[in-house]
Amino acid sequence: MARISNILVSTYGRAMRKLNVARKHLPHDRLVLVCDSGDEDLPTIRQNEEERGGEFVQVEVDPYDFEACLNTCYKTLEGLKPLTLETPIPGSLKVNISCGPKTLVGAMLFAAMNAGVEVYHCDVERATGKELVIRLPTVREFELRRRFGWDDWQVIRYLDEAKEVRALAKRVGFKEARLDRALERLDREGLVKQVTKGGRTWVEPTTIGRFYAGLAPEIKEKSDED
Amino acid sequence: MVTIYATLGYVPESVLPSLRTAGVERLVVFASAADTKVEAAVRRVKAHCEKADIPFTRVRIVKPYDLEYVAEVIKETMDEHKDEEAIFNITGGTKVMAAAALIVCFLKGVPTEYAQERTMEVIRLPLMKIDVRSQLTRRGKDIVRFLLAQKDHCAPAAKVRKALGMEKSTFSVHLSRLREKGLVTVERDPRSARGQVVMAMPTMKLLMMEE
Repeated sequence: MARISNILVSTYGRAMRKLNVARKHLPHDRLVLVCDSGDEDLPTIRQNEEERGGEFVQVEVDPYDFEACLNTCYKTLEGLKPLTLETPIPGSLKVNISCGPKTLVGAMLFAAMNAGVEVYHCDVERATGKELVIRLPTVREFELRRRFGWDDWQVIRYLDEAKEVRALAKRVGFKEARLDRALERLDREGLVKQVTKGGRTWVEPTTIGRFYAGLAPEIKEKSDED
Repeated sequence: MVTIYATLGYVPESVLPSLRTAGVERLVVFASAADTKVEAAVRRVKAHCEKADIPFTRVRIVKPYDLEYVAEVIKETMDEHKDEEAIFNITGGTKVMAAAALIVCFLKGVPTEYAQERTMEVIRLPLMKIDVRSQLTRRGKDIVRFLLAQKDHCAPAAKVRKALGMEKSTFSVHLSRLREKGLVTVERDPRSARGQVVMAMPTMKLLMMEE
């Protein structure tokens, strides 16, 4: 079987016309659709892709569950990235976000920004029928997670659930002032919020905080390899 | 007090759930111009606001499929209001409008929400703040800024280098880094046998827009 070099990942939800613009303008050997399992267009899309010698993969997700979408999209992109590099001439990984509900679209956009993958919006202008291929301002090989330092990751790895500040400091092994500085940064980045309950301060992870907490073991593994 | 921003298309109901947020101070909707169905939706939302005594502002989006333009309009409008607190409802309008709103909200750290089409249940998307500028070198930013100030965001490589007073080798290193990140492209200059033209990614302007 020929090696896959160019992969197009797209959100999907009953928008064949927009997807067709992406398929036409973004060259690919493999099409990966992230969507609901019950979409009736999927057999046709699969058939079309296979007829033109390409591969088709569907990744199921509940498109209205933002957290599930974010994790699925990110894992999908990270899993596909190495495939484009294994070919004799490095291929490309591109994302199209023009189809599906906006929860899924938002999650895919954020996941792509984290994975450092190019994002496109392909559409058909209603009034003129003109096909549009817009590259969104995402930066290739720039990964949002790289903005966090060592101290930040020490805290992020424990953001799976709400924790009382002193308990968190003990767990991380930081003095409170050092923890405060890290929490201030993470608060600014939207990963945590601090709330006072019963005279104690609790650190609560946001959805994004939990998303990064899920990445923490992988980050540690990579830094150990380095 | 909270300002609700919303992109609006044909369905007025997409905006209304956001008005149930506690302490709503005003509603600002971004809606396409010259579309009768959109105008009808705007009228219905406006009537609802009048009834609820919520100040209503409508911002006309003349080019609803132009990401850069929509993002600039949204950003300028949000800058004008200098809100204590803001929430952006991205349910209505074209996907380009929603994507533009998302990008502006990512840059500004403004939370976004989405009213599910079938149930109109509001799903609050998490706060996501990005700052790509902090990842660029000073020289890299200089090159991008220079290109964004040029017509069509492009210029001959030699012109960019000379204008920024950079040595050939330094310029080459920074240009390579920007190319690797997909922020600029370099092509042969059709007007010169040996020259090159550098072009900034058109939507790069959005990433630099907070400056």
